[in-house]
Amino acid sequence: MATHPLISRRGLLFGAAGVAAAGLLAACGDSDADTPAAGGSSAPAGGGSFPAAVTHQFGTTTVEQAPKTVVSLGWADADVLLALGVIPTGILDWFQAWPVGVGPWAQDRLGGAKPTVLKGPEINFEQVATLRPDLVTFTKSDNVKTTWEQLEKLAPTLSGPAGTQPYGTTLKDQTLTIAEALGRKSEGEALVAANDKALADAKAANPGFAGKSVVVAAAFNGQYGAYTRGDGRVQFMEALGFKNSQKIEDLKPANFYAEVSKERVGLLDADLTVIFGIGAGAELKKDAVLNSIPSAKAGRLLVIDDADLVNAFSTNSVLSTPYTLEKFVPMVKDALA
Amino acid sequence: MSRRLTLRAPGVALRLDLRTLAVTALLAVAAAAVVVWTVVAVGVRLPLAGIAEILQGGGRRADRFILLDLRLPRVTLAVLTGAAFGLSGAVFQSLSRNPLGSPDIVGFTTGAASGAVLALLVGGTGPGGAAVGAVIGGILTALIVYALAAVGGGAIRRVVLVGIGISAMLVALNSYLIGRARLDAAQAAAVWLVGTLNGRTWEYVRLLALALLVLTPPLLLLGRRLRMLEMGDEPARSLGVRVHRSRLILVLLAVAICAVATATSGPVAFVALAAPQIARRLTGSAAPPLVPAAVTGALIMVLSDFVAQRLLAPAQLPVGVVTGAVGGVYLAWLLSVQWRKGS
Amino acid sequence: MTAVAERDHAAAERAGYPALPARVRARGGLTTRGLGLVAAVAVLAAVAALSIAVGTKAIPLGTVWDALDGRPSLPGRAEDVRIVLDLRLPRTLIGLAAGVALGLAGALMQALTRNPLADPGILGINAGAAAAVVLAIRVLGVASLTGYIWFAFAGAAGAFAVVYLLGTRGRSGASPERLALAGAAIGAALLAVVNAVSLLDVTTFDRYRLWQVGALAGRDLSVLYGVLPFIAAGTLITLALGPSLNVIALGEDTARALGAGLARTRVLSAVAVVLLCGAATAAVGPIAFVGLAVPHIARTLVGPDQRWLLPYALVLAPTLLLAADIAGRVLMRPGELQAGLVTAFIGAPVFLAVILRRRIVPL
Repeated sequence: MATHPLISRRGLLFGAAGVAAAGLLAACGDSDADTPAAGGSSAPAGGGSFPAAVTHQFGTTTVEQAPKTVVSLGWADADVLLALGVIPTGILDWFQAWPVGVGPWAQDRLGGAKPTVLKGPEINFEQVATLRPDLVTFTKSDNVKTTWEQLEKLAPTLSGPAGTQPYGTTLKDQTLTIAEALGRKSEGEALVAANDKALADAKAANPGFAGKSVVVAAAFNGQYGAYTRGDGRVQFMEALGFKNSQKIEDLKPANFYAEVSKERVGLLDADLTVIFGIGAGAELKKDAVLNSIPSAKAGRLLVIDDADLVNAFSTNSVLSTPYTLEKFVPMVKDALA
Repeated sequence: MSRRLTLRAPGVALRLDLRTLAVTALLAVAAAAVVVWTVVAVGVRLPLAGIAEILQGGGRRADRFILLDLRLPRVTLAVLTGAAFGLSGAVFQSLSRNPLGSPDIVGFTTGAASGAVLALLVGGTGPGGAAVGAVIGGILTALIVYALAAVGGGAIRRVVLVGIGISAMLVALNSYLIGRARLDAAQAAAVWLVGTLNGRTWEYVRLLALALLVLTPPLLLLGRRLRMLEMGDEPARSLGVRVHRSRLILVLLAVAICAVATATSGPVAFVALAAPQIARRLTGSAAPPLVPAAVTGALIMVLSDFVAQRLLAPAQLPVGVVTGAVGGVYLAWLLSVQWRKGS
Repeated sequence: MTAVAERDHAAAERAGYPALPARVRARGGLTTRGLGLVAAVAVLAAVAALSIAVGTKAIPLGTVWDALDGRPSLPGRAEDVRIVLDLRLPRTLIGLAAGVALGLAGALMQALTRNPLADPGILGINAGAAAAVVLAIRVLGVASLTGYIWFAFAGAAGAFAVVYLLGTRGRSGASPERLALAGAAIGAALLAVVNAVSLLDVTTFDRYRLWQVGALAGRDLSVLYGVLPFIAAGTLITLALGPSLNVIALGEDTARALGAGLARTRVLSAVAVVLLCGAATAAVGPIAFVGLAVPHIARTLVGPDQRWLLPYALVLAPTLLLAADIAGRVLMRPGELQAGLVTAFIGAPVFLAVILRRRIVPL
């Protein structure tokens, strides 16, 4: 089995901090409901051409006609659906953070609809079945084949493209796979293009970022995990013109992150150091060892404390990217100023 | 206790068997009732008429999926894994003459889990590969434990001590393997290490059923020899039992059974320990009886899985969480009653 | 039996200790045992020094020394000084304290229950502490390692009380098997609570996991200050109990005949066990195996006389824990392995070697 960047999910989990409890409380629904939750049914906008066939790592899935009921099980698949104007009937909220199942960057697209929010860590297959989906999106997942096979018996189910690392489906693949299944490939391509343009614009507007080295790390288990180029967060930073620290890349970890103990915090030094951790912002900020590295002393250490922003940064979807650009880029500019 | 053993004349043995039979039948009926209740009413209620329709090939796709692809394989697997853990626990507890000799304490389940995880990580295989890895891991662990324990006398207590030592290493190995590389998230890894039946397909059922079909009959046939071994090596030998060979065969069969079960459900805690103890006390027998232990294991497992799906619905608990609670509380109560009587 | 041991035994008797039958007497002569203890202390000191000198980062010894000495460091060495003072020193001190507590608690439990398998894991104490901590996180929103201390104590005490009461129920008293069985049953139920609560809530899972992993890293000195009084009290009680524990080892009837304050010894032992286990678990999480293995190792070295076994356990346990922590720093550079994982890998072979080399020494 392919190894998995545990930390990227850890990063996610970290981000879920403060609001998780609220999400859980709010999500205690009635399991006996025999019909989909009120207000959750979706009406796909904009037609699309059918039948639509999508090839992914487990084969080809054909969607015969425009799906009326879509359940989003993959991480942030709901963002793509909402970007395409499809309101999912059920959403597995990877962060267990929001009562509506999606982050603040996607919430207004729900238009007041209240999808059924599915709770982890195990997929409740019966609950998915009671939503009677016509399409299940599962593009950014653990890539376990038996899970996909199980779901495919219920409804056409999407997965990531061949060769994808677990939870490693890129923004482009995720968007295009879902758009294709909805028979709206060109709209998906437009979303990806718009996303690329937004990043390129941000890069152009900030020539100071170009060529600067960056380290992106999460604090976990008493040490740090520094991400490498395979990770979406690093890809985001490089799209803005930064270059991931060569010291980190040289560690060549098996997954998309390198474990760095607190003693080796010097490895995290770069032109810009970005660190986040669950509710640990205050602790990180006063961590004497962390603050002894050169980038910290020069004020170029950026500790992300806002749970929503950490989640957006980690999600890297067509809807979260604009949110991250809006909130995060000014912080980066300040740090480098 | 010894009085019972000495009274094992044919007539008395028959009386004991009657009680065993009655208890076993009652346990089986209870398990069957929980199975039916699980199938009919665990999440969405499927009316009996609807179930009949689905079984005849009708019904809506979602209902068919819920019944045929979710509930039936899952509940069948619960029965089979429970029976497998109960059976293998009874064999080991008999062999070691100690409740703590059960495979979940002395590390065989943990070793099987290591084998399964390694097979998944290295080979990237499905349930079949995991089962092979689990059997290899479980048998290797058992061989190491017994070989080490046999060095210098092979006292029974030594098996448990050595097993706990090996188990501690394997637990560390598993959390290391799974924590770093496994599969997906830390939480999902934790779920697997606790043991879960969520989303298990017929493929798992077929695998375990096949293993049990092959492994159980010889084990039950050897049951008589197991009873003799319980009396001690010398008495057994005087009755014509080839002690070492019999023990080795019994160990291999029981390890293989619990290993395949572990590969399908993860290292579910406590069923292998609790089921034989509960069965022994209910049947009033001197040693853990094999078939009642298997039935008790099945009952604990289906009951636990029912609770696991229902307790905090729609959130799903891994079944291993509940087996600990159900088995632990019940065993504690049983011990308390028995010890108060001062027996 | 050697003449030295005979003489020592007689001396003990004169000093007011009850006469001990040969099977609970210490192995080796007084001098040998004394020298052994001195050597063990020296090894512990060396390991502690190593724990400050060695880490995932190579820091010159001179800088380490300067940092400890409080001398102003060379420019460019500020980071190294912080590493020594803020990371290595706290984890070494915490490792020492937790190790002492775990070793003594294990030895005490094994003596009290006359069970070679007794340890905080098997008797359900770790599970009790974990259940209390996880509920504190989920229900009360407690979020700091220092905040967990009281809950870990309460959980450890509650679990131990229930297991002990259950195990000693009825007329025939606590047999080793009974306590282990009771511990397994109660522990399984408590672990179910832990899993149910932590697996369903991401935040709880994360916080709990950080505590549960069993590590010396990531804890600062405030954690040590929080638990130190309890460990000190538990240690004093335990060492004072040594002679009475020897009497318990003779079995209940003999002990009663010798007129030992059996009930008082039991209660004090139980209090000490809770103080020590609760404190260790609160500080470093449920580290398995040290409490089980170290008394066995000590017993093979000095025999079952508690007056010697306890000090040996006191010294050997932190040695094992710190050695495991150091190994964890060196093996995975630039990352680290948690001490709790390494103790199993280092401790298990040692433990196996010890129990295989000789018959299990009766308790």
